[in-house]
Amino acid sequence: MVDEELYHIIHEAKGGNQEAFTKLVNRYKGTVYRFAVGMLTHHMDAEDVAQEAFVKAFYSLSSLENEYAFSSWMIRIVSNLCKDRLKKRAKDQGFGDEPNESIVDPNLADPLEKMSLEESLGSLSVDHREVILLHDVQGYRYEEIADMVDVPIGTVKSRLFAARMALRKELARGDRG
Amino acid sequence: MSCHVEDQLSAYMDDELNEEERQQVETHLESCDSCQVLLEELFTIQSSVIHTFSQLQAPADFEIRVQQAIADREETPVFGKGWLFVPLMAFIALGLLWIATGAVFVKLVHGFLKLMIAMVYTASHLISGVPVLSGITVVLSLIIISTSVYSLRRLLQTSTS
Repeated sequence: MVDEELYHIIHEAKGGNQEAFTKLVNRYKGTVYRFAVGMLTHHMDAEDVAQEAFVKAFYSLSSLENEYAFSSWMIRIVSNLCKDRLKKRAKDQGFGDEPNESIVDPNLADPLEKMSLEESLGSLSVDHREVILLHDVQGYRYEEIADMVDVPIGTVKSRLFAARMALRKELARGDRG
Repeated sequence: MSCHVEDQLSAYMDDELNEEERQQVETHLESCDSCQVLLEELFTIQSSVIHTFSQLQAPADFEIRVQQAIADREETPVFGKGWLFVPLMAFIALGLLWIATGAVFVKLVHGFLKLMIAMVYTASHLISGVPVLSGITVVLSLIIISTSVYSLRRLLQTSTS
């Protein structure tokens, strides 16, 4: 989908056109869903939160000032919902006791490798998980992440380094175990 | 060996260093095996993350579910939350009652006050007009005050004893 066409659809959806909004859901569902899976490491929760994020977006789309920022605006919505869900989960089950339902995709060549990565990512802090997902999965630059997460760019740099080192440590532990 | 550049490696692989920092890292990497190994590991982990998440697909009926969720919400009555409905209705009912009867109520209170003032005025006028009545009033007042003081003292003595 070329940019101009996309911005036209965003503009239409902003004006209350439900058909245009459905096109946007189709275009961004993967992005939002992947982010939710990475944050929550739980299939069903991720589907719920991704759906909730789009419903929320539908009702607050009129407050989006810049159509060009739709993607980051959408990620911000789902990120906040994921953090709320994680807080609720921690409250319900006791701190640090999140369920870690493994995500096994039958299409993947090596499901064991995937399971290990999911588990390792899920054991990182929320901030570390978020920064890895924003950079490596969503493809945002440091400056954009700093703006989205509302921290200085230097913090993004150090946080991403710390997150990668923590993930490396977790993966090494998984290999040994 | 100069000090390691581990904390710069992450930004180096993301191409987020300035020219000077980038050259510094590259110079160090040429002569440091451990930093080279770490960089390779970080690249591998990044590729693994990208690969893993690129395989994930949202459910096929996702759009329909979002549409359904929006439709469900649209159908929910405005007062569906319940807790706000009752006090709001009570407030509206009281408001309507006030609008309907407010003017009559105010007139009633106003009329009653005027009547009381007129009665007090007439009584004082009547008393001052007849000298005997004034004397009787003063005596009666003194008796009432004395009786009240006496009763009050007895009451206080009874409650403290």
